[in-house]
Amino acid sequence: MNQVKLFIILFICFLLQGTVMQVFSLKSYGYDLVAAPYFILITVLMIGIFYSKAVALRYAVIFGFLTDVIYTNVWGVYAFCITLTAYLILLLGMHFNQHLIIVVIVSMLATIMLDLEVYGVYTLIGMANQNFIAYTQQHLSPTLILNTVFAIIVFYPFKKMMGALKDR
Amino acid sequence: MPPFFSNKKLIILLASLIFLVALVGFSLKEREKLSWPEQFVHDTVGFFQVVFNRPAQYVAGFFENVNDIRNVYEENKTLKKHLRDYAQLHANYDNLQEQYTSLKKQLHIDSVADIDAYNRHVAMVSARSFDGWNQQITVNKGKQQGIQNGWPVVTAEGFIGKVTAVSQFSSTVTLITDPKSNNQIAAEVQNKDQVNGMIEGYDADKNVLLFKKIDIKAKIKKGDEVVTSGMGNVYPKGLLIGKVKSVGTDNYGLTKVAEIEPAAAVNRLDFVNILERKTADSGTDSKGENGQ
Repeated sequence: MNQVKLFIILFICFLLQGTVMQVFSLKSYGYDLVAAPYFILITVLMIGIFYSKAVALRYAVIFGFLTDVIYTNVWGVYAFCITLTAYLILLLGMHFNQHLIIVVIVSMLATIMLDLEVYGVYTLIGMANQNFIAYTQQHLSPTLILNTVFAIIVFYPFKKMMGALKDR
Repeated sequence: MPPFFSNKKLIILLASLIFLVALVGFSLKEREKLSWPEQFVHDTVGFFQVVFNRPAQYVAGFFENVNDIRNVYEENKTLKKHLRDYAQLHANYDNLQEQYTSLKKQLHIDSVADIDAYNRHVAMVSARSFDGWNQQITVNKGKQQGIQNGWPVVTAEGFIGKVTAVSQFSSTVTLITDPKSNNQIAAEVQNKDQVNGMIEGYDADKNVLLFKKIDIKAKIKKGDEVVTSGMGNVYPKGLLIGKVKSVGTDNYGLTKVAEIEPAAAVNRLDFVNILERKTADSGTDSKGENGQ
């Protein structure tokens, strides 16, 4: 039952990334900025911090691969990058307490890592032909802001819900 | 403290790196068809995407309407002016159309399939890839509605891309702004000379399409309209791609390269038209004719 709940939450985040967030994206309002929503990453991190690391990594692989299949035509990039980022961050995150500020900083770090990894891989295979300075201004900074806000919003609901799941 | 990378974990990391490279290599090659598990995943997710996208579109539409109300008076004035011109234009059009059909009849070219003709399939955009690098959208029509791989996709303003993957109830459209180099379109400039070339690639920093392989002597200037040429039997003729922004020469000085400003607002899409080219399946005779 717990697993079904987690799956539904992650699936909703996955859908939000591609539908609602794209209708209200910065580009559609005429700004030349891309704020990529990495809600799956943030949610997986929260699950890892508050609930279980193994479960979090399993969902990182599943939803990373789903992202690859649905939203891109290159397989494996998001599956690999999200899982790697979540693994490394959760290794560090074990040593911290579960305070709002700490978790938000950790999420920011993860967002930057994931964005850089994906940019790196896409540059290697020639799909991102933006220079680095333009990338940091037009892609990395808006992405960081969006995902930080998302992390702050979902922190308390997740803390409460994961606590309830753990107690059962 | 646990060791940062124990031996086993290092091996897993390396193995998954190799697996990643293999997967990327596999998926980069062009595929004609999606396998059935892929189609199943696409369709299932596509259904939920529509459920999520509809309300979002309505909310966005509401804000847009509120914005529009402020400009109604100005718009109304210009539209009325246009409407007066339109009656005259329509009369001219009828006249020309009549002449065209009668001339065509006299030449006995009625039997030859028209390479400009196409059917429209209206589809709703249900999702869009969220990082700035992949430029593809998901639309809510698929094989069951008769969509096929490779068909062009347009909005009211102009050409936006082509269908690259079809499953049963949804399909994926790759936009012209996608940086992948296999996104090529035979195009021509709409002026006296009918200059031909290929649209190859997109410059994300300048937001322009690159129009390459133009004859070095060709006359092409800023503001000229670029449309699909209908050559190559892929896209119908005359779909507006954009306007010339600047003209230069390529690296070797052998051909001209022009930067094209896309006509369609690719960043804001709600409904699109998928065009089915009639000649493409009307038999081999018309195909042979177009290929020349």
